[in-house]
Amino acid sequence: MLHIEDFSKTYPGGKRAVDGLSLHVPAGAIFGFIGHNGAGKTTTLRAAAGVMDFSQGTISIDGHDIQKEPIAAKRVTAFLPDNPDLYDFLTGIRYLTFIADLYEIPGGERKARIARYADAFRLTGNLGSPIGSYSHGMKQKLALISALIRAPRLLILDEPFVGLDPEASHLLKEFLSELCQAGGAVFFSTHVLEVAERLCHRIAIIQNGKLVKEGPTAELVGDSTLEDVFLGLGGEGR
Amino acid sequence: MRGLRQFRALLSVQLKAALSVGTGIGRRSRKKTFSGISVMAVMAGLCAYLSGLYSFLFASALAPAGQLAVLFLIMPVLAVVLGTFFTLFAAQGVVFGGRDNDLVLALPVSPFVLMLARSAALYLENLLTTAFILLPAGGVFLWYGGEGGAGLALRLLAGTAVLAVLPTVLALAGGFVLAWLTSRLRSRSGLTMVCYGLFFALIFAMAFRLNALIADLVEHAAGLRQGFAGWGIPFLLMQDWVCGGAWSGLLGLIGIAALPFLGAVWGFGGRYKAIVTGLTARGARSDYKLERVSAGSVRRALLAKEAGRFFHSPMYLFNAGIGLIFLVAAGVASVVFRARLAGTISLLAAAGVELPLTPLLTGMVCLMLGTAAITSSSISLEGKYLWILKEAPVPVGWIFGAKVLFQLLLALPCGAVCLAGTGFALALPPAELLLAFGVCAAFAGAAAVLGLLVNLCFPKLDASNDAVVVKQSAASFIGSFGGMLLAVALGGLWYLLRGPAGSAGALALCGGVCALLALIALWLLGTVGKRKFLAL
Repeated sequence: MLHIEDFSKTYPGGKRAVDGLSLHVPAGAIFGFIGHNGAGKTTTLRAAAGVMDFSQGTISIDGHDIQKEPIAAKRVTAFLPDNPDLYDFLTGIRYLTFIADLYEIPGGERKARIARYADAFRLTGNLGSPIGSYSHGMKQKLALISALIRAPRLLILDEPFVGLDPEASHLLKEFLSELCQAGGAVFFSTHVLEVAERLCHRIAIIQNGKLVKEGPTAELVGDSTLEDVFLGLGGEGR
Repeated sequence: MRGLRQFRALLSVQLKAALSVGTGIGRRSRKKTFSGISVMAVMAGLCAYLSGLYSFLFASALAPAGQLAVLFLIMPVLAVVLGTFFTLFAAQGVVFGGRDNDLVLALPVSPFVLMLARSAALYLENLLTTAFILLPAGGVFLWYGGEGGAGLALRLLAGTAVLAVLPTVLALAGGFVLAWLTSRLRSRSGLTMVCYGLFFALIFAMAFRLNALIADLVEHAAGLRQGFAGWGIPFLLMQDWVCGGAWSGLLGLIGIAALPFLGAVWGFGGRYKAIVTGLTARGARSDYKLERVSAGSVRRALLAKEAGRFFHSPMYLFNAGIGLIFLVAAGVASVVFRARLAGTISLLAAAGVELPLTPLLTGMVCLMLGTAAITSSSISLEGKYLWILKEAPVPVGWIFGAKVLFQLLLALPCGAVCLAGTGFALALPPAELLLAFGVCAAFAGAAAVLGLLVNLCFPKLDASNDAVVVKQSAASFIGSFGGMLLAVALGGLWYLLRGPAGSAGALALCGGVCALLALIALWLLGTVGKRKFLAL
């Protein structure tokens, strides 16, 4: 579903955020991407989502190169940044309608999808209010709903559990599993290693812009825990 | 000592936040330095230009009557009005509505020091405005033989430093009222617009009153001081100090300006946390029922989003759209006062002055269209929301197209209203009006596309509020003043071509130049602009 080949990103000023990263997120998989702060996770996710320009390597989604065929690649993708800032001047429902328009979701279908996810996240009653009046958690839920109503083939999430209440976190995990069962894929970063260990089919660990470990969760963790594996890497590559 | 250090650190941050322009705070770049300096330079230049223009105008009339000192009665009024105007919305947005409130209020700093630092940042902005209005006025005063020499210059400097406190106090009070009103309104976008509209109407009324005063200034110059009794005491004191060296004037001015300033800072500072918490606390309603969900095309959605941003931000609307409001007002006023307008034109014609009415009208409409810096702020206003557009499966050209089209959808009807109203009042031939509209449309197209290009070259994506983007970013300055300069340049071109090509021919050629410029700008937008957008 997502193929990242030899991806590198150097920021103006010379900082090399990611160095020769290659990854493959297969259809039907929840893929966890973990690493220290500044390791290069967000840079990779943003590049994969087509939000950030890059010059080295290739990234393709469902067979579409994100740089050569950005529209086709983005049409099957939904991305959620770590701190999703949404248009404060729109109401929740106007924002969802805006996103539905951009993704050309048919009128009847969009109502059903919005109703399903908004009800699940208990946000329907708030959809008439301006986003500026939402709490951080409500914004996070709205952003998730806006991602899920697109029925994406690939969901790219940067720290999706931050700010969510326990019920919403549980729901999100269910929706992610559902998406994968339907043949989609999820690529997400997290610092909550317990969640990654329980939820992900595959895990990649990035340090200082380089991939240091990648594989099926069970294989990677073995008899230990993901936390032990991660901490065991220590300063390797940093 | 610790309080002083905290104050200096906070003031520095507030000033940097207000003046920094670029794509990332803390990153050193030549572009950022240039942008920050350019914003200050343009502000100073605008004030110096207005001051120079009016000072020479007043002084040339007042000097022969021996009433040159009146200059120091009128120019301080201009300084205070402009200073208040420049900082009122900044006071509302930065002092009472700062998005960094949670961060700053959590610091171990007393609310008084925080309030003082934010107010001092406003004061420094006002000092710039006041200095670049009063110092050129002082130069003109001496140029026309005013007495005082170096002593006057020193007194003027001291007076300027004190007078700049006055617009700061007015801006703080007005900013608080606006912030309070905004926080209390249920339908804030509509009613906030009304508040801003009233404010501008007040400014216009004052400007008209000042113009009326200028008309018979010399005749009433001697009795002008009586007119300032009461409301204008600070200006009388300023004149006494600058022209007469009266220490009582300076001390009185300090008392009138500085004491209310400290009082306001102390008053607001004492309850600062409660005030900003009360002003920003808003709760989302929970009674919405999902019934009908509308659906539209991608282009319509992008356009509606641009409209939503424009009409929900009074700062954006009244700063970037003020020229368009003027156009509609001028068109309506021309129809209402058409007899007076026609009378003035007839009087001029009788005196042998044949005005080229259609080119003049076209030039004025273009000048106003040039001030409409909507696209030149639109990329910066995406700011932290830019990821939404970049993530969407939408060609960059459509995003640009929606921004340009939105500006044109506003500019063209407003220009048409002005042309139609004024054309009707002046009984201009329809064919000439049609030509004028063509030129204005081409100009509006060029201005919209060039504005977007300017914003892509000078983006400010890290602004804490709309005020910083719309009022203080390099792109909005270049967009509005560049548009006005383009209109002036077209006027010059028409003047040069009117001989060989004839008035209408020259006008058509100007329209052709605008259309060509728009096409070149469109090509640049599709190449350079697209690259810059992807790199943001």
